[in-house]
Amino acid sequence: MSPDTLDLTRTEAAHFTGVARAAKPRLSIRGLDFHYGTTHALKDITLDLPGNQVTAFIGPSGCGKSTLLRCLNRMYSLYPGQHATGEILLDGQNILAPGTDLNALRVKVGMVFQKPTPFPMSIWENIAFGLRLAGLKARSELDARVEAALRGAALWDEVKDKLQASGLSLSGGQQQRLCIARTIATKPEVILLDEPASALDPISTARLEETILELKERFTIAIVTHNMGQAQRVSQRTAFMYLGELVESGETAQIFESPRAARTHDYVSGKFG
Amino acid sequence: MLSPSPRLRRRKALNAVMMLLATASAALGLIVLALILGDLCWQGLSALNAHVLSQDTPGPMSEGGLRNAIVGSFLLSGLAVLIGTPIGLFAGTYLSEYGRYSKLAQVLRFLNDILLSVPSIIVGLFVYQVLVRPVGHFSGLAGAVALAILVVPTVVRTTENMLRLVPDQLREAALAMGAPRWHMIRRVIWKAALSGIVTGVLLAIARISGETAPLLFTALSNSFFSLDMTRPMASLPITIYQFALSPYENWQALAWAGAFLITLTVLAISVLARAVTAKGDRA
Repeated sequence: MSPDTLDLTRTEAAHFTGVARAAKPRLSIRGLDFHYGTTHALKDITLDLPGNQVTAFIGPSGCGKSTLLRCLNRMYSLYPGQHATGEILLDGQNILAPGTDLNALRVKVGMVFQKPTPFPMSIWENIAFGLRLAGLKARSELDARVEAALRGAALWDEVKDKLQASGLSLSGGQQQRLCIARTIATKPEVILLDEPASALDPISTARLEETILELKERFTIAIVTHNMGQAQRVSQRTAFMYLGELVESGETAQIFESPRAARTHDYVSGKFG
Repeated sequence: MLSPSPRLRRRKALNAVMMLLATASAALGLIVLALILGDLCWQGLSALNAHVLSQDTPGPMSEGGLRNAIVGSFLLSGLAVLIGTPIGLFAGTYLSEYGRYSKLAQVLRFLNDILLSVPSIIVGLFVYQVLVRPVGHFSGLAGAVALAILVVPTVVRTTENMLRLVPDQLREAALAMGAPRWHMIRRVIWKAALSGIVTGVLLAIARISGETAPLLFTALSNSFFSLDMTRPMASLPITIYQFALSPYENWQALAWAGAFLITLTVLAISVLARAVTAKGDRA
C-alpha cells in the first residue's frame, strides 16, 4: 500500500466519522439566494440542518438570519417582490420548486414568531386550530391532543383549569408557550423559532429554553437569536451570518470556542454586533 | 422680580384671545345641539302616547299613531342591512386581504369613497330608474335596495380599516399553521376585528334610519299597515316629512313623536356601538 493511498483512506475515515456524528440532515439548503426589491438579502447559502438537533442562526441585525428562517416555510411568498432561488430540500423535495403546496409545507414546517401571536379565541381553540385544519373532529381525540401539546410546551399545569379562557388573557411567556403548543400539536417535522424569547422576561426565557431542549428529542429545530448565551444553551449547531452571507457553521461549541473565521471570532467575543 | 417683556405680554394676550374664540365656538356648537335636542324632547315627549305604537297613521284631524311607519322603517332598514352588510363585508375583506397590492383595489377604494359621499337623493333616483319604473309601482323592496346602497360603502370602509388594524404577524401566524388564506381570514382575522366590524354596521344602521330622500322615490309611503315588501311601504322619515309640512295639528304632533323616536333609536345604536368597541378593546 502506497503512502498516498493511506492518506486518502485517512481523509475518508475522518469524513465518515464526521457524517456519522452529525445526524442525517432533515433540511438541506443548497445555493440559496434571496432578493426583495433590489436588495440581495441572502447570498449563496449552503447549510444542512440535522434532524433532532437545534440549529441556531446568529449574526448582527440585518444579516439575513430571519430572512433565511422565513425561506424554510416559504413565509416570504406572502409578499410580492420577494423571491428565493436555489434549493431547499425537505425530505429530498425542493420546497422552492414552483407548484409546492404551501399549506402542506407549513404543516410540516411550523413557526413561532418574535412576539407571541395567540389567536383571538380560547386556549383550547388555539391548540385545536391546526388539528381541526388537519380534519380532526372527534372531541375526545382533540382533547387528548390539546393536552399532549400543552404538556409538551410545559403549559398544561398552568392552564388546565381554564382551557376555555381567552388565549389573550395569558401572560407574555405563557402566550409564547401557547404558540409553541399550537405548533407542536400538529406534529410538524421542523420547528422554526424567530427570536422567540426577545419579548420575554428572564424567568419566562429560562422556561422557554428548557422547553426547546425537550422538544429537540422529537423535532428538528431552527432558532434565530440575538442572544449568544441562548444560542450556546439551546443549540447543538450554530450558523454565523454576516451581510447576507453564511460566514461559518458547525458545532456550537466549536463556533464559540474556536471559530475559524476572524469575523465569527469578533462577533461571538462581543467585539461587534 | 421679573417683569414680562412686551413680546411675552403680546403672546399672552394673543393666547387669551384664541382660547376665548375656541371656547366660544365650542359652546355655540353645543348650545345649538342642546336647543335642537331639548326642543325635540319637549315636543316629542308631549306628543308621545300609547296610540303612537298601537295605531296606524290617521287622516287629518283624527286619532292615530305611527305603527305602520315604525314597522315599515324597521323592515326597510332591516332588509337594507341584510343586503348591504355581506356585500360590504366581503368587499372590505377583498380590499384589505386579497387586493392589498392590486391596482383594482385602488380603483375600488376610490369608487367607494365617491359612493360614500354621493347625495342620497341620487341613490333614490337611480333605484327609481332600475326598480320602480320597470315594475310600474313603488315598493318596500326598492326602498330597502336604495338604503342598502348607502350601507355598503360605510361597511366597506370600516371593515377595511378594522381589518388593517389587525397586525400582519397574526396573519403570518395563521398561515404558518398551514391554514389556507380564506380559513385564516374567517377564523382568525375576522374574529380579531369583530367588534370594529360590528360597530361599522351599527353606524351604517344609524345613518340610514333617518334617510328620507332615497325612500321618496322608492318605498314612497302607505297609510295602512303592510308587511308586503313588493308594495309601497310607510317609514318614519317620510311620515315625518309629510306630517310636519301639513297644516293639521295632530299630524304635526305625530311628526314630533316620530322625530323623537328616530333620535332615540340613533342614540341607542351609538351607545351600543361604543359598548361593542369597548368590549373589543378589552378582549
